Amino acid sequence: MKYVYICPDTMAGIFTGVYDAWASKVGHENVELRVKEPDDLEFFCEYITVKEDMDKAEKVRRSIQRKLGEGVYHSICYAACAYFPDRAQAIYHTLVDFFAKEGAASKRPLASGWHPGGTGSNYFENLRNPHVKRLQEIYRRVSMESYRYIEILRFKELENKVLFAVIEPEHNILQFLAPHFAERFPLERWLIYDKGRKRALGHEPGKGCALLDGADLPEHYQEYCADSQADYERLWKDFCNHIAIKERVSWARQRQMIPIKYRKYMEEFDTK
Amino acid sequence: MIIQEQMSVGEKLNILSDAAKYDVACTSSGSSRKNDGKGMGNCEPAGICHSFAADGRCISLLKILFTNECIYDCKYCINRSSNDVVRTSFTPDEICELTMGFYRRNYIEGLFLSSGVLHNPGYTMELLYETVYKLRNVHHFQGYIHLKAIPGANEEIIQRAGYLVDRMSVNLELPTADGLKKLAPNKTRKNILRPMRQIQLAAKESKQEVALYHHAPAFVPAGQSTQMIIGATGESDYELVHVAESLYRQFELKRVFYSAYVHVNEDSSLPALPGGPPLLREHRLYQADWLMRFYGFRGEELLSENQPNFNVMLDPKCDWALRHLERFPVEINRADYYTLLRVPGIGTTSAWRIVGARKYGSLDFEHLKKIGVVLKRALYFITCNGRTMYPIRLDADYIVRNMMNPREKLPVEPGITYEQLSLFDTSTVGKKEMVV
Repeated sequence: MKYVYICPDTMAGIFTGVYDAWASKVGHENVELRVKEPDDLEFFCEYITVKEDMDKAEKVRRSIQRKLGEGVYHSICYAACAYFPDRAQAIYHTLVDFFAKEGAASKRPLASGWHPGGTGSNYFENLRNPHVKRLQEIYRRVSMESYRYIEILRFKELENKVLFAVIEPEHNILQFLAPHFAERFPLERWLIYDKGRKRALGHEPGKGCALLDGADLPEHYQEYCADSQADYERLWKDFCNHIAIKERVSWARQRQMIPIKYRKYMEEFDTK
Repeated sequence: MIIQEQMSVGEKLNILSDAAKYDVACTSSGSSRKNDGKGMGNCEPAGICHSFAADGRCISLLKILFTNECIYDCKYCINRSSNDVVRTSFTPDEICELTMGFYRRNYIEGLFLSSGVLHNPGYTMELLYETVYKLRNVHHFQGYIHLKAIPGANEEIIQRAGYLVDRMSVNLELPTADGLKKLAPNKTRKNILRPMRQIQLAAKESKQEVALYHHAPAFVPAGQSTQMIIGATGESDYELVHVAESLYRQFELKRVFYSAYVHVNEDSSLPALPGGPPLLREHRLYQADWLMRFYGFRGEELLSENQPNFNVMLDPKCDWALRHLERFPVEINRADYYTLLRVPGIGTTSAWRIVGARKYGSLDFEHLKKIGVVLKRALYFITCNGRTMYPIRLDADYIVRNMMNPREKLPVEPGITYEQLSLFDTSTVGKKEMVV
């Protein structure tokens, strides 16, 4: 018999799912965690819908932070915001393998003579384990995408001096952009909008950042741009064209460094 | 010489970014500065590339010349004084405004400011200093600044500028003093190395001061770099690697950049290069540069007097490994980090991952594949638990032939070699015939 836990699509939801699945004691190998309702139901399989519970999520969060350390917790947070449907499964089994199997053995040296250490802070190095490997990969993809958007996000200055940017990321990375831009532009009012998820991240000087869900983008927001915006866009575009050495032109190399899917909101590329 | 008055900022930007594009250094890494809450910008230690130009090079900094009016007549340079090109200069305020405007929109990571020599080196350096001073103190810009030190300017102004910027660089221009004499008659090796030494010593001193007093101003915190032109004069790769290595050792440079010579001027003392800039050669030099900085290789290991140039077909590390087959195969589950680094197909990341993962149990080829080792190259040089992936022979010709043909999964018998054919070829085929 297989038990499928369907978690709400949030970090707390996934952590609650981890707690419930563990507490059910049906055997870890019989458990599967999902974040989405399945399209086809399977035979010999029980579906359990998890209800988000802050207390349970907090317990899971605390034990990750205590036993696996800040670094691993950070990675799991990133992974929980990924788009991949198997992320909850990877998180659950990584935790199970650490707490019930390999981590439990960490008090004594392994057969190879190595002592893996008392804490799990370097448990993510255990790439032999397929779940850890998968979780690590999910984390890497999410963190790489958020770094990518730090690079390629483009602000437009609006008439009221607000800096406004639109992004369409694959993973839910909006909140990970906050520390970088809050540090970089502490005296500016700026707003980043995730078009696919209809979420906005705003910043007000002296007050910090705020996330807003269910925000709609006005259709003709381009009209609210400040007058100088078009000038700077033209200057930037000219600069990008002039800085290339024509004897070395290689479109393939450019496409490799910055794939076309990212170019939609970058002024220097003509996507039309 | 055409000097146009009253040019718009846009036109100036076009001319002066065009003139600056041959400078290669466009990195924004190495400096970590937090915003103090009073200005704009910070520095990310890993560096941020905001865009990529049509030639595939990253655009991280606003790379411009202050002016392209130059009194020098360097033969390879588009701005040489005897060239008839449109000349113009920015004012410090125009540069500040452009930098701030671009930075606010997240177009750039900072400013890369170089310049032609206007009137004399001291005067030019004074202008550059004024620009970065305004940027830091009037506009409160806290992002990355890379400034060129102009050789021949007095020491005091370079010293003052060093405290304002993140990275400074002096261009070596050409790898040998002879080449410099031939192609850049107004520049001397001694003049170039003097500010380089000055920056090195000041940075060293400042580092100690910062260690002692946490808030002491940092001098050139992202270090010093330089660049040299490849393929304009006739030196070998061995000489180039040697020069780079001694710069790293004696001047503690952070980076040496290599710039494939681009033919922009017609001059009898310049090479013609009908095949375009020597990009592959530049690539091989960068590979060797990485091997020296991150992999613990020494220059003389990679090349020697007898073998002065890199192999065109193989990367320097593979080439080295094939010449040192006595060191292989390496056992993945035992070898230390630095030994792993010497295996072709294993880089710094995968070496770290191997060292981390094998604490939890022995690794197999299946694991290596997932870890990110390039087995296509590595499989000839490694064993896992005493076994190779396929039955292979540890023979240079055999390995090269199979590595060159990545579509073939299983190694096959050798027939040709990667060395140059000679009339008296003594390859395996020839031998067999003789025996028969």
